[in-house]
Amino acid sequence: MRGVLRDLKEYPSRWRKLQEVVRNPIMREALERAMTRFAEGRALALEGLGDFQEWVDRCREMKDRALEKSQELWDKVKEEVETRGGTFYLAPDAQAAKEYIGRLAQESGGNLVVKGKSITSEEIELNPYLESLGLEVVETDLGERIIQLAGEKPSHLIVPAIHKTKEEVARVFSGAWGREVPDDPYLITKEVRKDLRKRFLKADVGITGINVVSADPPAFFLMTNEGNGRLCATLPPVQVIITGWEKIVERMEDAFTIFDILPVNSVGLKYSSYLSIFTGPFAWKKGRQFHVVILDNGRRKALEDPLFKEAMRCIRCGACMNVCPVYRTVGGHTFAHIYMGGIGAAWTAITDGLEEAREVASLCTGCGTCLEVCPMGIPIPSLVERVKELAKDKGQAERMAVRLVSRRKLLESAVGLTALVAPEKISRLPGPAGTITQERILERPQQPPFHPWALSRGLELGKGGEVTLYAGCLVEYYYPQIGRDAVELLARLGVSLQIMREECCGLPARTVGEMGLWEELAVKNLGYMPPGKPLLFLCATCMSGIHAYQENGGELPPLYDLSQFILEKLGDGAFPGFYEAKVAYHFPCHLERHLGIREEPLKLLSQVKGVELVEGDEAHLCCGGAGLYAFKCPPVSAEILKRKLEWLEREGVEVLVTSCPSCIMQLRGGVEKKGMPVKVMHLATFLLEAMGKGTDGGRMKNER
Amino acid sequence: MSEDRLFSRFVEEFEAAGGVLLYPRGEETLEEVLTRMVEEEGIKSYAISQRTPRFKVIDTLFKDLGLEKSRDYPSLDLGVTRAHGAGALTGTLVFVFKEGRDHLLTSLPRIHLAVLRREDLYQHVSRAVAPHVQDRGELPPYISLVTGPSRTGDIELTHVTGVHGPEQLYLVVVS
Repeated sequence: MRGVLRDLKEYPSRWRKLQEVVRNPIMREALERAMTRFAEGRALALEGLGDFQEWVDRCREMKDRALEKSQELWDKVKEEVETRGGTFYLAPDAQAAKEYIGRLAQESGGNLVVKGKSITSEEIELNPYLESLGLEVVETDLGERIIQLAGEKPSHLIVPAIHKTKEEVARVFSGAWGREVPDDPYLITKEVRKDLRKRFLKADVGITGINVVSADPPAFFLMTNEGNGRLCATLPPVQVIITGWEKIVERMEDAFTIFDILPVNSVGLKYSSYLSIFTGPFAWKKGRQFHVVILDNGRRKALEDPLFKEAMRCIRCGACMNVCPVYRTVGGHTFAHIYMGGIGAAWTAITDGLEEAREVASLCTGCGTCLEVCPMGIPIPSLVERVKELAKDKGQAERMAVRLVSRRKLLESAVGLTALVAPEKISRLPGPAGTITQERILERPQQPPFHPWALSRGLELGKGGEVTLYAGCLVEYYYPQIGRDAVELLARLGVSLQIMREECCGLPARTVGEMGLWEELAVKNLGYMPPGKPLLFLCATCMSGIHAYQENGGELPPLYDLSQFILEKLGDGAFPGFYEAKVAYHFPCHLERHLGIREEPLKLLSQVKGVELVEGDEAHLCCGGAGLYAFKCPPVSAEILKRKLEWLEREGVEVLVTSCPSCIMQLRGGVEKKGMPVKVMHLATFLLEAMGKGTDGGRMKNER
Repeated sequence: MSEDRLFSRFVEEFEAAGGVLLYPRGEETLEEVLTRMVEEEGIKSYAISQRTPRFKVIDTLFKDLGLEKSRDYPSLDLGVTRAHGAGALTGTLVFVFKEGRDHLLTSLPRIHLAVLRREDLYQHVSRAVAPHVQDRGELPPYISLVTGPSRTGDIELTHVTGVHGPEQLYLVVVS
């Protein structure tokens, strides 16, 4: 209980911080520009590579094979590096790695260290450590150099200083060099070239990260665009490589496979300017040294975990961040510990511990957009869930809320009480909770609940219904009208329904890591489900939750989303309805990305006469509702919602249709708060209206 | 892929990445295109990595043009080196280094001119690297794959070339 109170007390200040972040126009605009550019570039560059899924399968298989025998592969690399006259050190943790590199630097006899961009070195906090030894450390990637001089942290994996304008960058260098620097990217770059060139030539030690290591032949691959990496690696007398245990692949061809996809997926470039391959000491000058430091720091332990080992395939392309609605809104200073984004939550858990990881994980909406772009097929949302599950003492308020909403009786009482006392629309909550209603209104739950009504209509189990309806908690207690509309709609399409006894699908429990509760609910629901008959859903989230029972070996009847079911029912026939309006469909994340249902809703809507269907990338964006997320991180949720609403406005959409009551709550809340002339409807309601209240067709424009 | 198709694909990708194919180009002779490059880029100093007859031709031309041959690599205008191979699909050049200072000519001067034999062109760059890593005992310690000039977008995503490496990459292909 103390944890819950602590969490609740922290919420307002967390919200204030998030509010500040989302209201930083410079950061927002810069992120927007970068992410749009990278996403467009990626799409274009991918065309030349053929089927993306084939790449994913190939990369995953190749990388898993290597990780499976990583010990053997590294043994081989170690042997070869040492035979060639280099040194090889496996650092068990961050401290050991730092100390080892510190000793190498001190033994070099000099004190100037030049560095290429390396997130592994950031993971072990190498720079402050080397500086504490009296060494001068100079980052040489332009973005990293800006960040270093400004005393900040990277906000983007590929463009670390993306949050700084050219004017700010000019100020940073003016301060560092003690003279006026013009705010022109070209001139600044040329000045930095001159300044850093001197340092490259004088440096005693050059440290770089490495993207991929092949075991046969043993070779270390480093990709950069600026060419600073290869200067760090080849100019100073002491070359140090620091990289993670997971970077290993079997053959050189495998490394090349990764580089075929890495720059394309990352920034939309076919190839980066420089791919440097090192195999041992490059003795172009006498006495040059070659040192390899491989970092474990939790990695080998993670390889033993069936889920975390999937994160080990990450090649740090950053594509998952470029499409992430949360990252896009708050950036890498907020949605990160050292590793950023959803995958960052997993990596933070591996290398830094659960407490930090949980903080990162709590910002993820679980929308799964990242799943579509990860070239290594990493199940990022599942990893985020796992982090929450393991970090048991964190997120207590969230867990408490979920335990409440997951229990039908409790939920029923709470909702019943709310329905009694709340006004029809809540446009402003008092006190700090006002943040929740800043960009959306809240609706009062509708009464009475769905099940008693359905039973009064004779829909109970075993009365000959050909299909079973799983209504879900939101339809049951919040939007029972959607359930009534679905019953009416299906009756008119000649379908006989039955309802089943229900518990919460368990998805909310799963998303906060309450796996015990999740399993308990799954067992109950599986017991209630009549076998064999199709199970129909009005909520994409519930369907996805129940679909996941299969992971634990649950045997399910065939599951249907309403659009799928109706299309199948209609067969070759068209939908008998009419609705004259500009209509868009909002794809619930769970429907599209977790269940893979992408075509049916649009196919069905386009069959309705009079519908002018509006399509676009924005139709597939998360709405920011994400169940409890809208209450947990309201400023972020609201910003994500805004993008959707702007699209509706731009396109002149009159009716927004979707298949998830949670999305409806968010979208309608936003639309009504802004006073937009858009109707937000569940697919069942829309189709019923299209069929008309009577028997002679649907709605004309002037009827609305 | 036919040899001609391979070559035209390579040129397409090489130039898309920001490289400039100097020769062969239309009817112009090697001397003509190199002279134009020297004038346009304002090249005053240079160094050359090899002594083979082909490089002698270039060396002589530069001397005749009055360029200064220097060993002060970091301050050079132009470095001339051989490219040991190329990959057409990405427009990538392969440079293989075992010892010596030649690698500095690809990384330090303001402009890099590479000379590639047409028979060293492969479809995928990995095929161009393969012949150099077959003998495990003789693995070159450093192989540099170069695709266009050095570039950055780190300030407001503005594209700028010549950050730490050459700001221009020229190529001569010989048969």
